[in-house]
Amino acid sequence: MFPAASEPASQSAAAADHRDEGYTLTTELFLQLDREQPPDDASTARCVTAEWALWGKEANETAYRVLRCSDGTFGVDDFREIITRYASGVKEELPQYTVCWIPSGQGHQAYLAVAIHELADPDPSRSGERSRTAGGREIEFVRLFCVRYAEMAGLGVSYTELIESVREHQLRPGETAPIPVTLRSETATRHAAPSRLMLENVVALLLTAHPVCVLEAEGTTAKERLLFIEQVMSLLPYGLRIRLSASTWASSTAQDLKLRLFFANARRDDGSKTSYLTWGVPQPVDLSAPRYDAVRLYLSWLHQVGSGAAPELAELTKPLRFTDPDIRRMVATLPRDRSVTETLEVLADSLGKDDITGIRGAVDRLKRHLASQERLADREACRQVIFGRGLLKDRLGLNPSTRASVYRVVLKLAFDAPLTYASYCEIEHAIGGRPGGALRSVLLRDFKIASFIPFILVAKAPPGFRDQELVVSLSQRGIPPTSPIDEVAGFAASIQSKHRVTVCDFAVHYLRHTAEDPWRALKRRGYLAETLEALFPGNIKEQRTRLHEILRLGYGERLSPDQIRDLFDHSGPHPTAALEDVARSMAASPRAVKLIAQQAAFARVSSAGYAEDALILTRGRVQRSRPPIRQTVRLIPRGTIYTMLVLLLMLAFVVFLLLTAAHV
Amino acid sequence: MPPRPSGAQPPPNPGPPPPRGITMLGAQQTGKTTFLAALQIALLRKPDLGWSLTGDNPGSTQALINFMNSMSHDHEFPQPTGAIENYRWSLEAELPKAVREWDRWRFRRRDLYLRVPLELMDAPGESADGRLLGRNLSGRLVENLARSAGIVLFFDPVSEFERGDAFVHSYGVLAQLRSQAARRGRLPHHVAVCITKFDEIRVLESAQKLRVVEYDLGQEEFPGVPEEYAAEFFNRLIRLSRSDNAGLILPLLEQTFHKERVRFFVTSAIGFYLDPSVGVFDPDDYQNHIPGVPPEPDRIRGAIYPINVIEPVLWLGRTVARTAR
Repeated sequence: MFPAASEPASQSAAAADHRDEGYTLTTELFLQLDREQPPDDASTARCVTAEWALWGKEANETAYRVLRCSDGTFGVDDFREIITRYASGVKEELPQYTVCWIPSGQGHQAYLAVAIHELADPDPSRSGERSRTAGGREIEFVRLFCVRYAEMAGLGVSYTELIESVREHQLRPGETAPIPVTLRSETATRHAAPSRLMLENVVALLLTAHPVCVLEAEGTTAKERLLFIEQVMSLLPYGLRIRLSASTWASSTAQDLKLRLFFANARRDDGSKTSYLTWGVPQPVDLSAPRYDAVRLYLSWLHQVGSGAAPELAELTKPLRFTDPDIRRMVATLPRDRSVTETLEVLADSLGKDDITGIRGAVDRLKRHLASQERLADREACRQVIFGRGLLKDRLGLNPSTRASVYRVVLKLAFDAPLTYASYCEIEHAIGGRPGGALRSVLLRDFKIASFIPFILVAKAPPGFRDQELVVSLSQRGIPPTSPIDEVAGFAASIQSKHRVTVCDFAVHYLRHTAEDPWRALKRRGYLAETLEALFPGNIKEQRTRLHEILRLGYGERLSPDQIRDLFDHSGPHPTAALEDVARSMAASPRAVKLIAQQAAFARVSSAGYAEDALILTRGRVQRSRPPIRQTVRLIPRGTIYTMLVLLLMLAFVVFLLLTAAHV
Repeated sequence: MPPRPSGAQPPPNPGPPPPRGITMLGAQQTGKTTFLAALQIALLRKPDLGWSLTGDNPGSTQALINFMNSMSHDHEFPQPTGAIENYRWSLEAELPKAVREWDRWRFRRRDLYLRVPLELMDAPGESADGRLLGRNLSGRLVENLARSAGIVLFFDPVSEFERGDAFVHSYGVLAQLRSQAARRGRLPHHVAVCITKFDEIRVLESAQKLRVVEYDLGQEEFPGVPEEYAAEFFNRLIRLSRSDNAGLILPLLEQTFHKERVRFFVTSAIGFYLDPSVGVFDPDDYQNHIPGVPPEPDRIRGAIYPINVIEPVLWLGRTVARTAR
């Protein structure tokens, strides 16, 4: 509607840049968004109980020992045996992480355990009253957390998740009770492995039942190595964790390591029992020997299933050993991969039953599908399931983080990025109203929004940000002042009537509060008269309210004759009925009302394509008392004609007299 | 045999089961790991001996590098041992004209290349006590000792004076070892008893009072206790122990090992501080161990001049090599 050329060049450029980035919030509003979300309800949050022990020594002691531990299933002796069994030797740096298993027996179930090897924090408030040194040497503390395998498998807890969730538990003196650990959901899929081939190689080598050592990974952090271990295990059935011990670092000179997967800086001298891989170096593993047929079959299944393998494997929680018979049995019963739509159906069923494990499994599987672009080809089929099964509807029974993770995958499956206004309307239609709560949060946080209209509709959805907060946010993001109103004007007819008030009012508000000269911008856009007419056709009241505000901004409460002429300047756009109506209501006198009617009429003639005539009419009327406009160009002066007529009449009379005299 | 990545080199010479090695035995914080860490530096400090140290496998070589970096560059003590560490190093020497042999019509002397494999097992001090580190580690330590031909027994006079745990520590392990490996009442091992931390002020002063100190005739003029006085020094030191049982250590050693197979050495892994600008031992300023102010760890003040670190290892190494042949 309004040519881009009329805008300053810098604003146009900024707008173009912004179209690439999409609309987004500032950090402050993201924080506010976080506060809007209620914390996960304790009854629905994923929670496990951890038995624990702290290994180390006091400042005045020389020998390492179990300093304190929980008084649950395991006692001091048990914890000591666990910690020393999985000792990984001298470490070049701390922290490091070990994951291990505790078999069932003596009346207890099987457990999985994670150990954090670390120095005490130099900050006394975070050290858990531990000393950093004893006898002049730094103390390597080990915080060990053991969780029943059944709990871990039931909730599909990963090692990284458990370690992140227990990290803040400092195990202070006096504590003896097992710890309830609220699990922190992983919000983003992270990658540590240098390649998929590397992961598959480690998986294959682990299935040959030999220890696997990864060399030359010193450039990575302990966290990244832990994530790598988790990624490897995510490509194996969950049930194998019940026999997995792994560490992010082990001394290559340590005798009798009880680790199945570990990182080291050199090969061990252990009679070549260990398989070695080099970090970042793609090396195919030779599995051609007949005894590795089960491993080969497993790898081919992994390739076939692709990214869908991990969620499937997470559900295989039946305990397994790293032995040939167990591996063969496992390979024989591998599940086939579910399609995206099947997974969506499973998600819908799980949501219906409030089955948290099922929901989580389905969400994880969908995440994998999303990572695989070829699987997104059938988006229409996904949308049919998503809309048909009401997957976008709010599930108040679920905790907010689970709801958010569901929305995150479902929205990505249903809609292309960035989110357009048409997509927003579909979401509204699907949920039967404005998107609030977790859905709104996910849309604002995790989605790129293509344009102003869907962005403002999401941002203003209840509880909604205040106008001024959004103005600051968009302004900081570099949105030009006129960009929103131009978008509204351009798409006025296609904006749904229920959205028009919101988008129009905020666009005007944004222009008024961010433009250097808002009146000039509004005047150039015909005081938005035509936009308002398109937005609120036939609704003079809605148009009048907004036009009155706009005109007051430039002219004040009453219009002077000059302001009236300025308002209906013939070069301006078509004056709408609402504009004339508002102008009339702002007229200072009956004469001004008459002038408004006259000017409005001329303006209409002008906008109808008769600009020249309108101009003549306007000037003729106005300049009546002045000398004739084109006097100088008249070929015969008006007085000469009259004189000649008189002379002609006199000549005719003389001729008549002569003819009468002659006849007589 | 596990599958290997294609193109990967086969592991370097896995070889037959490891030869009988040398095990470090001593209570916690008696300086076992620091002693090992100083071995390379000690050899480099005495090039005239002709011996050098090499790693026999990648892990052991890496450990040598780490020890060297930690002590000589970072001036830090090595990390305490949390599990039994197994270092496979070799002492190598090219001894000029060491062998006299008949060559056709006359005797000739030829150079002799010597290689003494060292399989050194460094166990955490706590591992001797099953109650501290558990039965697994304790059992493994005894197994290692039983397989070893030599033992380096560490005695730290400072910690003995403060804690007095040397006898308790040694007795349990040696009793178990005797039950497994004793022949005709005594164990066949060669034992180097190392009285450590000679660089500590209290230890040096004790030696001076006992008049067992001799000063090195070399350039630095470091004090030392000659081997002939070492057993006597040890005997005197254990009388200063906090424990009443310390006096039983010598009889325990005599009962457990053949007397001729036990030798005493007064050692210091880090040696005395030497002001580089002077270059001679200063009796008023020689402390090389700087105690850290918590939470900072202890540090090494200056360059490292190990005392009597090579001697026990070389003696045991040669003995073990002979035994293996």
